[in-house]
Amino acid sequence: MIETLNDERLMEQLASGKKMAAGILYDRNYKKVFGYFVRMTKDSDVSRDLTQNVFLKILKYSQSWKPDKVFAYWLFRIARNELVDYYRGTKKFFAVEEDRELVIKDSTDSVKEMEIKESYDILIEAMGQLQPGDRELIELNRFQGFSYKEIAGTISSNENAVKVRTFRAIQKLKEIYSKILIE
Amino acid sequence: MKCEEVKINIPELIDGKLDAVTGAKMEQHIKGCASCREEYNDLSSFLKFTDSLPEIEPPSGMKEEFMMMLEEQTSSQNPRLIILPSWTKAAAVVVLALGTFAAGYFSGSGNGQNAQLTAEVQSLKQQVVLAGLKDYSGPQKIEAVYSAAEYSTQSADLVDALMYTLNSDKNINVRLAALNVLSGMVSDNQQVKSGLVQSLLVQDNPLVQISLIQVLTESGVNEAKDNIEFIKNQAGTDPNVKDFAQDMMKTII
Ligand SMILES: [Zn+2]
Repeated sequence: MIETLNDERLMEQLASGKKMAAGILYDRNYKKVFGYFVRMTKDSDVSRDLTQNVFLKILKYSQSWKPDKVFAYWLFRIARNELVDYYRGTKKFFAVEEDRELVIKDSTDSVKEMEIKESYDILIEAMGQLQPGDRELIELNRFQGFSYKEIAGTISSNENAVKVRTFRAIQKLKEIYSKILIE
Repeated sequence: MKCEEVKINIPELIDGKLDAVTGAKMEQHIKGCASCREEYNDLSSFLKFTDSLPEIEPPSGMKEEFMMMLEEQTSSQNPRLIILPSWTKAAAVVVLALGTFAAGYFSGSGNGQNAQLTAEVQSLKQQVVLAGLKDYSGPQKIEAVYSAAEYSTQSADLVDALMYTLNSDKNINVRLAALNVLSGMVSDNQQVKSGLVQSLLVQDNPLVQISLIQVLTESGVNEAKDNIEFIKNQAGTDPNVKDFAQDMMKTII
């Protein structure tokens, strides 16, 4: 009788009015969504609000859920729209203000760990300097683990274009990262 | 394969996402081409680094905040008005009148006709009670749930209606009332037993969860073990429920 409920099954339950499902879906996915927004906006407060909005929208749209959908892509389409709305509202594509505090685990009790933490900070800074489109490709491909095909479906592009653009985006990120390291 | 094409495929080669034939072609080329080899080595170490970026820890209290918004949304979205359809009121009056009449008549004499009348009354009462479970809400519904226990025999319809109430009523008190009635039937009704075991997977309110676990464990329903375990291990479960489940599990092994 017991089966592990995947996110798609939980959406079916939510669509049929079982509220508990929303809590489980939230638990499983909110860190991922929050991380996405933080990397895209560099603003922890904004990311918190955007994350809550995404899950409220999931609740709102749950009636229109179709069993043939893949929850992870659907979730990111909603997250992406939320981000677009946010940008439209603020007319701000970048978080230009420097270094809002990013919460990366702060257990710096050795020089080595300090160095690792620093290199992550630089990576995030480099991410922030990318064009939004490039940043998004890296976010979806590297951090959320979507394939080129899946990304193409999410951002309405074709697989090959996504592949080429993602490659270029990775190279740009690598360049910016190296540049900051040298500075 | 041209260098340009090879380079663009390098991330997928690193991630092991290429098919065997393309992968082999790529490796072949990289072995013999210094420029692509350099790109491969660079990207391998860089992507290994980016992939190791730790998850960003969300601020505390986010989950609680969301659960509160959820609660508000669901409670304000469907304000269930306590309006009784006029026909149910009429039917209730009819039942009341018939009930009194039948009781008086029955005490006077006892023959087959009376028994039949009593049965009819009983069945009509039950219909009204079942209708009540569907149409009432709030306090009226709680009353309906309890009259269901009082007036009805344990028909499958009744158990279904109570089970439906337990699993889907918006009001926690109504759900608890349904559980209360069902708990009286659990020991000798298999339908109730398996229904309650199932219900463990549906309930989201800690109070109902705890009551349900209590009823099932105290009635020694061993079949509930897996589902109680499921609630206990579920990430979203209230800590009090987890603790309670943990304790009660010990009693039904
Ligand atoms: Zn080459």
